[in-house]
Amino acid sequence: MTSKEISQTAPGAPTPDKSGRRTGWVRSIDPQLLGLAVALGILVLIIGVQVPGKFFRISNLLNIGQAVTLIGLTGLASTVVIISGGLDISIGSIVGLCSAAALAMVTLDNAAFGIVAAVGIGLTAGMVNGLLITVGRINPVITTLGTLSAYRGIAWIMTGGYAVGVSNKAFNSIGSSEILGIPTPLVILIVVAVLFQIFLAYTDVGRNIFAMGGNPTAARLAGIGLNRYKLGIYMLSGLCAALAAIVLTARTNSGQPASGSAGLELEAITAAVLGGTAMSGGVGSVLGTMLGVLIIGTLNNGMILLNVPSFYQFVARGVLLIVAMLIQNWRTRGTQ
Amino acid sequence: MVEIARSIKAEVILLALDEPTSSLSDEDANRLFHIVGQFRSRGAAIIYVSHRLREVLALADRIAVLRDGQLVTVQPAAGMNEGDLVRYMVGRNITNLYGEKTRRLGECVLQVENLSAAGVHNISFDLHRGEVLGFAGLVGAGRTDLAKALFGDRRTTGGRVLLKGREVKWHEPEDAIDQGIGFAPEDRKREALVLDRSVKDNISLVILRQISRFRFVRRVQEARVVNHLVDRLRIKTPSTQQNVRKLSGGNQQKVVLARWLARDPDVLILDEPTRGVDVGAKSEIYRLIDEMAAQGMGVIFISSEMPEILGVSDRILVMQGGQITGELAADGATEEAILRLAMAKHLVEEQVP
Repeated sequence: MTSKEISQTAPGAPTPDKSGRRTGWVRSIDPQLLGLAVALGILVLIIGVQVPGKFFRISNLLNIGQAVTLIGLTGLASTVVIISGGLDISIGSIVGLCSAAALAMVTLDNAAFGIVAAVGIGLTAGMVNGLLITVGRINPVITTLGTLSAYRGIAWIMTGGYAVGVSNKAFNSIGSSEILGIPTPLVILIVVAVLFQIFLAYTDVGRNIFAMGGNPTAARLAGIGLNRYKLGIYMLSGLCAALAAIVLTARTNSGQPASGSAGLELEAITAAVLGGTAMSGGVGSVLGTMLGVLIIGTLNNGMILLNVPSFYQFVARGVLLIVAMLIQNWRTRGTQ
Repeated sequence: MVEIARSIKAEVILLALDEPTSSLSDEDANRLFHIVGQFRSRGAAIIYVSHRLREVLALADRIAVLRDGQLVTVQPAAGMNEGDLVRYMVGRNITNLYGEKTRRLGECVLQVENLSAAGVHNISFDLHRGEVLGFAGLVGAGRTDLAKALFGDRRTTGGRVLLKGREVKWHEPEDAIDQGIGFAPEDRKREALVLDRSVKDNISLVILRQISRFRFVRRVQEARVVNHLVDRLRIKTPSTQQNVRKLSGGNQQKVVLARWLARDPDVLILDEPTRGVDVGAKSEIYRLIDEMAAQGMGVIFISSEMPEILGVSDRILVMQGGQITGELAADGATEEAILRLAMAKHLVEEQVP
C-alpha cells in the first residue's frame, strides 16, 4: 500500500452509501471497504515512518502474512457465524484443543494422523456447540462462553499443561514451506478466503445464511431449516479452528493448548466487526473481514516493532474491538 | 401519541403528520382528530398524510393526491368523495375494485378434517384448485393460528390434513413448502421480508434450491424469474438490487406475493395481504389473487376487512374463538351475516339469560 493509492481512495471514503450495497462482492467495493483500506494505509504509513528499516523488510511482511493466518482463518469463520446471527467465542479454545490433539497423533510419527485428529476434534467441538444451541436452546454467547472454558481445560488435561515439541518433518513443513514463494500458511488462508467468498455469494446455502441472520422468522417461514443450518455453521467454525490449529502446531513445532491460541476469539471477532459484519446478523463480507485481519496483523506487528509492552498491547486490542463497534453503530445510525 | 404531544408544546405554525393514526386505537385517533381541530382553529397550517380515505375527507379542507411521486391533483375536500379519491390514486376509473372473478373450480386440493392445534379446535374444510376461500372473523379468532398450523409452523394436536389426496404431516415450514404449500404472513416486515437484502434476494428466497445446480445459484435464471415478476406485478423499485426496506408497504407486499408466484404452490395462504397497503396496490393485489386462482392454486384468504373478503372470495368461512362458526357463499353474503357469525358465541350467550 503506497501513499499514492491512499490519495486516490480518500475522496471516495465519505460518499454516502449507494443502494444495493452489501449484496455480492463486486458491488460491495463500497465506501466502507475503501474506508478500511484507507485506515490500513494510514496504519502502514505511521508504522513505516517510525521504523522504516524494519517494517518494510520482505521478511517482516512475510512475518505479518504468517501471523495473520490464524486471525484470518478464525476471523472468516466468525464472519459466517455472525452473519447467521450467532457468535462463537470458543473458537480460540477449539484451536488450542485441536492443536493438542494434532500433537498427540503426530507423536505416532504420522502427519496425516495429526491432521485427521485436528479436523475430527474441531468438527466435534463445533457440533457440540451447535447441538447445545439448537437442541439445548442455549444462547450462543453463553454456550460458547461455557465451552471456551471447557475446551481449554480439556486441552490442558491432554498435554499436562506443557507445550510439547513436535518432531515430524512432513507435519512441520506445513508451517515452514513455501508455495511459489508464498508461505504455505498464507496460501491456506487465501484458498479458504476464496472458498468462503464463493460459498457465501454464489451458493444457495450461503445466500440462505444471510437471510437467516437478517430475519430468522422470515427465513424459517421461507423454508430454511434453521437448526440444520446452525449446526452446520458451528461445525464450519470448528473446522476453521482445526485448520488454524494445524498451521499453529506446525509453525511453532509444538502443541499449544493456550499460548498460541489464547485471545484469538477476540481478534477473530474484531476482524469481522472491523470488516463491517453486523453483530445483529445478515450483513458481512469476506473482503471486509480480510481487510480487518490485515489491520489487526499490521497493528500487532507494529506494536512489537515499536517495543510496546505486552500489557499495553492487550489494552490496544480491546480498544480496537470497542472502536470497531462504535464505528459500526455510528454507520448504521446514519442509514436508518 | 407522545410524539404528537411533544409538538403541541411549541407554538406551531405548520404541523405535518405522516400516517398518524396507523398505530393508534380508534379512541386515540378520535382524540387526535380533536387536537388537530384545535390547532386548526388556532391558525396553524396542517399537512395530514394518510392512506385512510375517510379520515382525510373528514379532516381536510383541501386534498392533494400523489401517485408514483407526482402530484396528481389538489382540490377542495368539500366536492370530493371516496370514489373520486380512489380514481385519482389509481389513475383510472375502478368500477369494481375487486375486478372480475374468473374462477373455474378444479379438483379438491386440500382437505382438513377435525384439525386441532394451539389456538384452533376441530377445524374441517375443503379447498379446491382455482378457489379463493375467505376466512373472516374478528382479530384473535384463531385464523392466523390455523394458517400456521397448516404451514407446519405450529404443532397439530389432532385431526388430519390431506394435500392432493395424501395425508401429510410436517414438523417445519420447510416440509410444507416442499409439499406445495405457501404462506404470506400477516406482518410482512417481521415475518416475511429480509429488509436489508435486495428485492431480488427476497423474491428468489423460496426457489433458490430449485434454481441451483450443484448448490450454485444459476444467476441468469434467477434474474430472469425476478425481472419477469417485478414487471408482472409492477413492483416499483429503481432496481432489483434495491433493499426491500426502502420500498413502500404496497410494493413490499408485492415482493412477498412475487416470491410465492415464483414458487407456484398448490395451496397459498394469504394472511391479511392488504394491511397497510394503499388503494392502488390493493386493487392490484386483488387482481393477483384472481390470477393465482386462475393458475390453479387453491387460495386461503384471511382478511378482517369485510368488503374485500366479500369481493374477493368464492366462499367464506367465519371463525370465532378458534372454531369455524359458519360458512357463507360469497354471492349473497353480507357484512352483517359475517359479523353475526363472527360474534356468534356472544350472541348466543346474550340470549341465554
